[in-house]
Amino acid sequence: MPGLSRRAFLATVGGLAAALQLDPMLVGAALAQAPVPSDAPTTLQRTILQGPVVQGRYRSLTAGPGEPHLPRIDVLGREPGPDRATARRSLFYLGHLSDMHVIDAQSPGRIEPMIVQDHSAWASAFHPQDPLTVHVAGAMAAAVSAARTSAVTGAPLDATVVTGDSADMHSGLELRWYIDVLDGVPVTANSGSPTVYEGLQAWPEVTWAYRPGDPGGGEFGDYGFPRLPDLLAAAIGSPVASPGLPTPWYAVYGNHDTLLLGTFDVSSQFRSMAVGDRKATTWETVAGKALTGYAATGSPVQRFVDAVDTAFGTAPGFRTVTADARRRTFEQRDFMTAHFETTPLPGPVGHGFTRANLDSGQTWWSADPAPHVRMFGLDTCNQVAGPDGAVPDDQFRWLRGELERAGAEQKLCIVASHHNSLTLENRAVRPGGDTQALHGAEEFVDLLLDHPQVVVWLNGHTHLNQILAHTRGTTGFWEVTTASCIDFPQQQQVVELVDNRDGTLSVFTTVLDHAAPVAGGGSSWLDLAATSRELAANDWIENPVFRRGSPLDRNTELLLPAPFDLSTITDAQLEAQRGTATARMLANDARSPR
Amino acid sequence: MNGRFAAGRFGAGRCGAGRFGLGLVVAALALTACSQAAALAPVGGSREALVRFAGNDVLVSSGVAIRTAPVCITGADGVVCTGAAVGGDPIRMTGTPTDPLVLVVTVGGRTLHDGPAQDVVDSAARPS
Repeated sequence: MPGLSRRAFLATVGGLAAALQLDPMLVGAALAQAPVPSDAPTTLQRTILQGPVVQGRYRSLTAGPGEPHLPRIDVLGREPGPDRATARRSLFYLGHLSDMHVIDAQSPGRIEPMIVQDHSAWASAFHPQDPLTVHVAGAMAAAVSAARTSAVTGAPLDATVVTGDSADMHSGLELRWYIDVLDGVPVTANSGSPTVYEGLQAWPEVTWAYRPGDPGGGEFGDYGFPRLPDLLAAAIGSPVASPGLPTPWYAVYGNHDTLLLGTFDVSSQFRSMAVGDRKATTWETVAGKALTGYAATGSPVQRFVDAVDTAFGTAPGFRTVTADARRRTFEQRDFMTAHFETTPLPGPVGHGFTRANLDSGQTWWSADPAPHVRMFGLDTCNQVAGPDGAVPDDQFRWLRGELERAGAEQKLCIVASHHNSLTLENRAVRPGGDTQALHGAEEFVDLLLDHPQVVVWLNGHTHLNQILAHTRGTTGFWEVTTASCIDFPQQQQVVELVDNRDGTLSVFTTVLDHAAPVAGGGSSWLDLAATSRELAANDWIENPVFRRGSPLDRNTELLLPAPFDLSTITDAQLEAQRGTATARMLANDARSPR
Repeated sequence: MNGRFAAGRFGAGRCGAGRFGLGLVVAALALTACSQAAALAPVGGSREALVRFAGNDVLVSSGVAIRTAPVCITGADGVVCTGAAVGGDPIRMTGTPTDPLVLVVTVGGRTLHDGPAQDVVDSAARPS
């Protein structure tokens, strides 16, 4: 199939240059270059492994060998064609981020002390690297930006999707930081006092936490966590200059964007505390006074006395901090609204959510990030309680209708959700509340299998790399779960759909480490991201190395039968798509500093 | 075949957490037999995933050409995963319900590994 004719090429260049206000010569030169597979840093070239013990049980990190793409034929069911590497062409190249868990570690609207009650059960309430999440998010945006050209085909990145858990504790400030980092807006990861770190990790009595200024006296010190006296000041001292994502990016809800700690109702008492000037330092304070349970269990007299104690700072288990109204907890619809408060580039404004979503309150969407690709952004979060999810019946029926339409239009379909097929069984309902059915994994996977044009389901939630095959007869799709930015290995992915021109399609997954150096130790924002990764790799309670997944879950070529005759997608159409993606990135790079 | 019906379900309503607040949840957990980790840890480790990852590590490092990656199910006796190699040899991976979790990997009746699963993932995450 021929590519663009000379006339069509010139028309494409002219149109893109005009639409994006770019120099036509610049656009023409970029589009005239033949695609060349990139050798930009990914885990194809280098991995990051645990190094030797430094102190106690604490290990450094070290560089390991790269991992090539490993073919998987679970869905295809036969050996792939040996010549496909020379025949293939890119159909769509996508970044996949998930579980960024951006944290305002100084906020009173956190429940870190719960780890004292049971560290394993409450592990997600506190991590030693909590003050450095903005730095990691910025470093991950830099890694995606570096991987903007495919290592497989040389195609430009078309889009990026973020599958939820972007803000950790329902904080409006965390939500703002995550959007700004992905937009390329500098973020200083500080709140409250402009000059002093006011958080648990700076306070000597909080021996149960990792206190980088003096780690002794608690289990983190016993483990061998390092003394880093300048870490907290550096974390809040200068902005994270994230380059932002190079492509349009889309977002879906995660359970942390829906419930407190992704699990509990957000009470009015918690909302007050989040913007107040008292930060709890003991788990008894958190469990007994900061949250809903207290109001339900204490006597009216006791609640009054405790309220006075709290108001006057005499209640035990609290420290006074600088209040910050930006820490307000957000409502469900605020999550969508915040995605409209964004820079025009890389866009799109709303990041998948549209004005119709704001008007109706519908929290899921569909979009065509390329002419022959349709992406469905679902909201699988339970609104009532519990970390895991399900698919509400109205969304389930909507998706079935949309998939039928997409099939008739011969669109390749990508489904994006927060929860994966092992965490889609939460049918918790509020007594007297919404009674619509909640569909679990079996029904949802069957729905996707009913529509062979679904080639990949992208999700997160479990903070690990995992790839599962779902098959029915001679068809099926791949489920790709990516790791997180909070727990080790702090990895995300790029995913590419490739036509092998032999009746098969390959989904290439390539894992990205964030762009920080392997070894921590410096004080630049990228160095701090490196420190975060090293701390996370030693957060034993999370079983960090297990979250890397196996080689079958990382760099892979996932084969499946082409869902329709892919030759109906012409080379000229794909060339025009590449031109659009390339020009969009040029425009994004050329914009003024934000 | 697929892996969707495996365990690792953390259904929120089942431990009585429901719509209650955190303080009540803590009390409820102390009084009931349900697992705190299962109820509260949204992203906690999973024994089934540990068996899958460690077993796959063994298969790949042993050079097994995989036709169908093992699909895992958790029962009272632990985790059992079954798959197939190219050529048809069955792959079987089992993980005990004990601590430490002992992983056994066989391909066509040949045992490739019999030992702690954690040792496999630890080794894979460190330079050889």
